[in-house]
Amino acid sequence: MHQIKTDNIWVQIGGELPALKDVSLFVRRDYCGAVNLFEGVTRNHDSGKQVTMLLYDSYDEMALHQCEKILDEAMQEFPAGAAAILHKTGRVPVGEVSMIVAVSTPHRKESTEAVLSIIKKIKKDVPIWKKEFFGGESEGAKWKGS
Amino acid sequence: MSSVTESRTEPRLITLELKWFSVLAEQRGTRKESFQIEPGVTCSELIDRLSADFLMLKQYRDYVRLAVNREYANPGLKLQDGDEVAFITPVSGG
Repeated sequence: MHQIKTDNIWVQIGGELPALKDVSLFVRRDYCGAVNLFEGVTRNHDSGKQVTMLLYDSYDEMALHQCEKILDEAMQEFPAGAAAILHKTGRVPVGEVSMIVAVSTPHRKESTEAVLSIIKKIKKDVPIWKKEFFGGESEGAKWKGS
Repeated sequence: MSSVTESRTEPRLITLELKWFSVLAEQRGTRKESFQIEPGVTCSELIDRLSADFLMLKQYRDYVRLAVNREYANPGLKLQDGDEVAFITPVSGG
């Protein structure tokens, strides 16, 4: 597990995810009226196929660095009171959480925009990959996007 | 009779640490390896060189990004001895 935890930024790649309430408490600030928590969850289908599990691979050290940069940008841009990205690696079965993104801002609109902005950047630049395992016989598994 | 000693200096090679992930790691059969190459080679040239006998990388030629020492690098960046070079296929985190 790789982690950066400062007063207002928390990044974790790999390991078990913390409880959502602990992430919420981390980002909460007295001057922030909005705390926005996002959970990415493995769903049971994709492109018409049954999915049973996702397997995440990661370039841990770079992913940690990229997520830190994304959160630094969010802190400046919105601005956020505190922000966090926590991402599992390895196996994540259907119904389990693979990622948590959390942001606090003074007002609700910015908190939603900040979460969406962070997720968009994660999906573009953070070196983490998912492999989908399909439920049908002989359907096997495939790296997403490959 | 005079003799001339022929002096040849082999070009010094630089050593890179290559890192592979996801589909490329599976196909390569490893996640990291040392690789020696002549100085002055760029990121783009390294991809071309490796693609010659790594067909999966060739398939990703137009999509793969290189990260050098954990930062995304421009294709024209010249590689240095000791660089950590990772091949980043389209990512899919989240």
